[in-house]
Amino acid sequence: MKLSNILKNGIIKDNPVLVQLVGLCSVLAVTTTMVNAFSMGMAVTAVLIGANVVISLLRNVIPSKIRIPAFIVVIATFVTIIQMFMQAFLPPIYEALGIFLPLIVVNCIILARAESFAYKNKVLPSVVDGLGNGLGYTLAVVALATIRELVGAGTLFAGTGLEINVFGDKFQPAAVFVAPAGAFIVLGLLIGVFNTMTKKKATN
Amino acid sequence: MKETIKLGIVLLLFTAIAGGVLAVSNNFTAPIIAERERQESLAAFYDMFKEADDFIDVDESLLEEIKANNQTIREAYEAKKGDETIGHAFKVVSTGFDGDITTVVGVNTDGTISGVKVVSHTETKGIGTRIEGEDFTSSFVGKATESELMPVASPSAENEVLLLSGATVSTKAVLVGVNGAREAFMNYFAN
Amino acid sequence: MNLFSIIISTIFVNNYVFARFLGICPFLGVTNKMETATGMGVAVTFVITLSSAITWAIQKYILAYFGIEYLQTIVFILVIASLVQFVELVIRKISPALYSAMGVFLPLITTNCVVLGVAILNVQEKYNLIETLTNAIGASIGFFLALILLAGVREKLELSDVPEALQGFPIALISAGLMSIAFLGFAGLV
Repeated sequence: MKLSNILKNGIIKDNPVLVQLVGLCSVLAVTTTMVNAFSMGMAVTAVLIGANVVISLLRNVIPSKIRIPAFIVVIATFVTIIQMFMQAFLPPIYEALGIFLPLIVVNCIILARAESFAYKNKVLPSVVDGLGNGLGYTLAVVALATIRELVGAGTLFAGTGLEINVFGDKFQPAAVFVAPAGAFIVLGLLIGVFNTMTKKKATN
Repeated sequence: MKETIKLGIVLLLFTAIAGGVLAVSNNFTAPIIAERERQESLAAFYDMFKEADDFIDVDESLLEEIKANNQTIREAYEAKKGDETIGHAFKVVSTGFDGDITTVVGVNTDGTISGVKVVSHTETKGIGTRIEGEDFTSSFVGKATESELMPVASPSAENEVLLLSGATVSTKAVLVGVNGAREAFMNYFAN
Repeated sequence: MNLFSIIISTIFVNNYVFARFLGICPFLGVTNKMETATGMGVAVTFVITLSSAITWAIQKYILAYFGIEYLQTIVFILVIASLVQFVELVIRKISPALYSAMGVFLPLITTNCVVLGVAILNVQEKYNLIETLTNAIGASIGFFLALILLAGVREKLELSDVPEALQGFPIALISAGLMSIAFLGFAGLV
């Protein structure tokens, strides 16, 4: 398979969030602001690439009977390293993501990529696969967060210093969009729209 | 059986390597995290003691003794202007409506509060978050540390601070911390 | 916080599914039928309660004792994974009937974030053993409740006329959102 195809599959055709519908816990939880969503996307991408590389390198060493626990050890190590570095260098984001940072361990995307791709492929394709899926995840969460932040708080880029108050001061934000309920509903609609778009493309 | 043992050893080896990698990375990041937290409290302290040019840690055995008798205290510093001690600064932690509230408190040598600042908390947005506000924290400034501070709707007396209506739990939680710092000052540092 | 308020809080006010977004994958995965939802609910309750007790002991007597809290994530997930394997083995030996009812769900539980989430939150909230168990049981009941409620709604949805683009997961998510609004009504109860 061509590398560009692997990349495209991760981002669009098999988008982990919008098509495969895996790892939704963090998707719903961190999309209250664009900044949180983007940081979570980067953390997940870093873990995906790191875990894919190590597992691909060790694919001839790991006996297949204990591959799942071995994958979990590799993934948990990367997650903990990311957690430490975020706490040291990006403390506000570390606080905002809270429990969903360690929970990247049980994000099904990462285990699924390890099992179905990295364990069977060479290092370079595995890196690209990790990158593609990571970007696919990031794209989906940032899209979701943009809608939620815009409608639920009336801002964009809150917390970066570049905060834009889109609708002016008179705007009464629909707070339900930043509440948990909004997360479910907006994600449902987003998947619906994405389905329609990709289906149309396929029939053309 | 033999295979099971072999697999077990492989997995154990994996975990051991992972543990080693994490230990290295922890050794690298832990001092940075500790230093950053110290800098954060220091920045807040310089705000409270405008004249101070240095903060020194109080004697370690004394801090241990204070901590043993006072559950809220986490850190304690002496504010220095040249050689002269101009006050004491404390970092305290108390339990809020939802999770811990970390507050820093400054006390002048004359026993009045020089400032209070809430540095981290996870209180309810829009309600409990008002404890960060200037109108709340400034109501502590200048109050005496001799007697326990009480929250009231319109504070006037020496021991009264602002009660945020609707956020009683959060207000009282901050007060637990500030009162902890106040007691520590009275018991160990007041002349 | 007393035990009663922990229970009420985890079931209604801070329901792990509707308010904390933990366990969304099985929440959407197994709720198309009432029967599978019940099986999953029972299996999860079992694993959460056991793993909470074990991780609590490990945190207190090993990780905190030796000052190696940074190994928390890796140790907890390994404990949960082995526990799930162990439970699967035991149930298969003891009760084939029970195994056929909840066996298929067991492997899925390792990657159910409620289990790891509850274990980590127990530590963060500094719960003692009794509070830990209470929190675990409350979380399981809350999860169970969410599964059954959504399964009930989805069984009805099968028969209704849903716009093509929203069929399947999207409408399930929207139903979950509406349910979450209903759960907002419990806010302030504790």
